[in-house]
Amino acid sequence: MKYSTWIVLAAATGLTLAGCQDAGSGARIALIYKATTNPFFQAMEKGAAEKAKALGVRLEAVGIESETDVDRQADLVRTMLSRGTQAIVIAPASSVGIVTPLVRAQEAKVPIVNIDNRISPDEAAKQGLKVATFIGPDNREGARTVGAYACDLIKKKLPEGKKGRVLILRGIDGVENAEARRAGFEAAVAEAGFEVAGSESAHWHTEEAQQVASALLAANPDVHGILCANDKMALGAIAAAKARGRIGEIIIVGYDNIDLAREAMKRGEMHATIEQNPAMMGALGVECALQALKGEPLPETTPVPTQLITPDDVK
Amino acid sequence: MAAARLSWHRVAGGNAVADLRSRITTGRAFVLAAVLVAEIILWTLLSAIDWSTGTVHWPYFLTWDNAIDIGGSCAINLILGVGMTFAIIGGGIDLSVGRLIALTHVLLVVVANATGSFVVGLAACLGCGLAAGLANGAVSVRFRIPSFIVTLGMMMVARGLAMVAAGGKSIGSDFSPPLAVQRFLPIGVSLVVMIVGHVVLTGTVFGRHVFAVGGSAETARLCGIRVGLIRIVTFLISGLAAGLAGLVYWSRNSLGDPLAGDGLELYAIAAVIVGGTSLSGGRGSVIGTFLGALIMGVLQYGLHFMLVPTHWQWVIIGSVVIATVLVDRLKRPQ
Repeated sequence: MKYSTWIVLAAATGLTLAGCQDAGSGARIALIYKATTNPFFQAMEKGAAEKAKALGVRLEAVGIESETDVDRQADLVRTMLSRGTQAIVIAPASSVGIVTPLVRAQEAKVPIVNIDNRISPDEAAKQGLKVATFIGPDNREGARTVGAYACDLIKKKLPEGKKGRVLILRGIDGVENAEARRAGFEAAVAEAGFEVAGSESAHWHTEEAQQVASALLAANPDVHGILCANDKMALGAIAAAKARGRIGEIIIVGYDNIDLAREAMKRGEMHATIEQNPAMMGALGVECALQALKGEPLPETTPVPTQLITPDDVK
Repeated sequence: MAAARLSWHRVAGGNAVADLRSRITTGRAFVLAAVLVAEIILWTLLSAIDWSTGTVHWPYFLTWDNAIDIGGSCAINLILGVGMTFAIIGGGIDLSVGRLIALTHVLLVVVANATGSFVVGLAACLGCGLAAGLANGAVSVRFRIPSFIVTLGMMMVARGLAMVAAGGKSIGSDFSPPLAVQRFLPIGVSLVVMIVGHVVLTGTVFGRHVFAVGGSAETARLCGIRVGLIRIVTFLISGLAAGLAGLVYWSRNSLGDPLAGDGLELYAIAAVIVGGTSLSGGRGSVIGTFLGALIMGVLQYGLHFMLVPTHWQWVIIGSVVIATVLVDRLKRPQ
């Protein structure tokens, strides 16, 4: 990454932090997240907890174990309202399903800060939900960056004039971050003049990704790379590539920069991922919730900068 | 042999109210009610003190809002549990109901969105539950395949079909239930299901036949009971319960989520077992299942309310399931 890019990133970070900063108050804020076993969300929770401590905010963090237990997460929203929480920071399991329970929070005058996965604007408009701000990474840009990096690697290996072919492993269709990453991947592939040989959803899961990638590799033995919408699916793709004896030679990239992906990069099995700064996302969530509680104006969206992680960064 | 017809007539001398009274004052239902009350007292006391500041807040757990939320969060398990009670007493088991929730409520949303009529969507939702129940029962009875296997297959079929119907992603519902419906429909449906289930099981000829078939199919056959027909109807009831649970899922989330209901069949079976219904069939009650589901639901809600980490919640809920059965076993040596 270029030096100037870093300066822009640092400046953007400084501005967003300055935009949300204020002294603490002993306010009660709930962080409701998902996938408690995913290191990404663990880092987010830790970032939020540290910021809450620094601001003197009382943070109550609760989460559902899976990525997809919509009904249980809705229950958590209701439970936290009953506990008398004053503001909600939420990473929704479903960008559509979470709207209904949040409307009740809004009616109780509890401000809502949306982080990570953007609540569906259509559904929110339909039910009259207004969130204080959305704090999230630019998933499309992140996916385009890592996708372009993968295409460059493939180009270097290909003979002149040969068209690269890649597979895409998608997240859960209809969920905004999954759709944005898919669009980013597709844009990068199109920009490189490559072709998408196959594109399937593996619902963010490692095991399912292994099955899906195995089937896609069997059907398309000539592909040069696999673009995965998260690292957990990239791990599944690695297992599938291993089984077919193509590890190292096939370019695999992911998204999230989890520890297992870093280890895979050290072993040369994986080639790049995207760091989304989940800790910063959690911290910003708490700060903005406090601001919303004080009635201060917030921008509609607060972007969190992403960065490309390559094997050079983990050595 | 002249086969007896399926009969929904009241049993001569059978009295649902008297049966309920005797169950509450004696035996298992009494133990279950005591466990439930103990849980509520425990959460009320534990939550009264704010441990981080040392202050007392009252009432904190024992509020109408919490009661309504608990009712809402128990509703799906209650409804599935009542259907499961029929299937298990009749000597079977229904593993498909969890994933059927996904299929039925996705159909509700898809059909209602497409036709612009909620009633048509609801008909599709309940019709799908009944059709799946009929398929489970008919295949298992006609071809003598254990219902465990047939419903396991149906679970996978329902999972796949839910994805197909939803186009592989969550879909928003054009019909959004108003707040009052979101809050009270789950409670209303589960109460009606429980009362109707209890009356049918204890007060009708059909109910008696279910017990007879589950107790000893051979004896029941010799008595002229149409064993296969009774079994099929128990699966129809379980399928209808899955359809109603789908309606409740929609009312709580106004969403068509093809991944919904994962593992809920096991939760329902746990509620049935805690409620004292024998897994080998022929013995059990709807009231027991109702109390069993409430014990699990109040426990879970309280654990969330007290911010107990999710991983520990599983350990505690599992232990309480085993302990409740154990207390009952020790109280009445067999």
